[in-house]
Amino acid sequence: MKRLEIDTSPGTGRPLLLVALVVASLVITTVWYREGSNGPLHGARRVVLAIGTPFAAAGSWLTTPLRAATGLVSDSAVSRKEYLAIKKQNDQLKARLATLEEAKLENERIRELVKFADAQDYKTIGARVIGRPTDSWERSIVVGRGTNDGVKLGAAVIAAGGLVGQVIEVTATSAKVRLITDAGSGVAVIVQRTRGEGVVRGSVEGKLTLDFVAKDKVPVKGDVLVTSGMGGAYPKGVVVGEVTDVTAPQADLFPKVSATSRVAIDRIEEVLVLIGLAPDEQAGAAE
Amino acid sequence: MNRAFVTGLALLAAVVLQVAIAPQIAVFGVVPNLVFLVVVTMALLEGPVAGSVAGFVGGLLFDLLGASVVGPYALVFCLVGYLAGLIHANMFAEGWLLPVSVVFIAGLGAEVAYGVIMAVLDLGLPFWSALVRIMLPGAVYNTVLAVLLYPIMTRVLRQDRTVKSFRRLA
Repeated sequence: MKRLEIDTSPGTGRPLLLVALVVASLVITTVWYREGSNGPLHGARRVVLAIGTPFAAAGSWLTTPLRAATGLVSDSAVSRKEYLAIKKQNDQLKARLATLEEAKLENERIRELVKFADAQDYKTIGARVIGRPTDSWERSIVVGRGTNDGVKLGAAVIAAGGLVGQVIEVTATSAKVRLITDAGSGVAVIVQRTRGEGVVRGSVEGKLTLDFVAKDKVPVKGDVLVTSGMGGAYPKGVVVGEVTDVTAPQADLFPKVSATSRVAIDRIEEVLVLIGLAPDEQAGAAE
Repeated sequence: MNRAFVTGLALLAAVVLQVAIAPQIAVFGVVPNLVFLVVVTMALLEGPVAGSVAGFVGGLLFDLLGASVVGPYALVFCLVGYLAGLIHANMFAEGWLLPVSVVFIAGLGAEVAYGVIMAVLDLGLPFWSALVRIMLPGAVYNTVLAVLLYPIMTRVLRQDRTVKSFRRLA
């Protein structure tokens, strides 16, 4: 039997070309770090985002029936009795019911959002999630609002349960949002009960950890974390999540605190983008 | 049709599908990498030069799709394209085991290399968590898709050559 051998004879590859491409990649990475948000590579990413938005929206739209069907199947599995009761209904009625049900759920979610926004006193705009992460390493979403709607780079994004993330790229009609569960995300927070300050970070698993909180202000399970407003990236007082586990080894400088978001971030379908502070808060900020 | 043109079209199609479809078929947060599949297929069919160029272009586009730093995927994919291309001369067109094995090894290698680069850039994640949650599942998912898509991609990308069963391509 003939053995498989890798052909590495001269001429099969061009090491110089490979070296040139590797160098080009390194140069691109360096330029990305050095240039500002208006640099050519950031601009190219915005162009790709703008071009990709309709495709992302189309993909989301195309798979909506699939998601609805999955939901229908799982609902049927939950209640066999209910399934038998509605079995006699004709297809048209069932389809209409599904449509109405979807509209009702959406309505409820939006009502929750509006109620939450009113309570928080922020100037917000509702946005639909039209794109999900294209890469396993990151946790980000694309929403169907952009500069045309008043969305700005760095704007905070919230949902009924609290903070969702921050706008990191924006085009005229869409914006990319880094979720707080992304490993590269960091949110300055304060423990509501102990007033201890810290930073909430995301992780590979999509869980949250609270770092740098002082040992004399260690939270306990169930404590609520809210944004501290430090650094100005997020407005103060937005709920980020709640503490799920605390261990404080004596040898460690800071306790290890796990937290979870109140928002089902991976399945979120609508969000609110903060496009400014309410008039009274603006006055406060100016003082 | 010009091969470079077909390759460019295939990469563009992969990028569009990566935006539109890949996020919708993610399993437990693991998103399949269709651009990577095209790059490896190109490398296996055309050799290291085409593989590295396709890897660089595809990787750069993939970088631009994401939210993190631009450049690492261009680097990783051009290296993967080059290395996978080195066994192009030993490829059998209809054999499925070798390409699928290459996709798995290259996929895992690419994910590990990307993790290392992110660590160097101080954007790294805990290695074992990333290995279990992202690298291995991603490599397996891409391999499963390769079993389904590799025959189709080879037909699209190599229309110019009639391939008999188990004959050497090169």
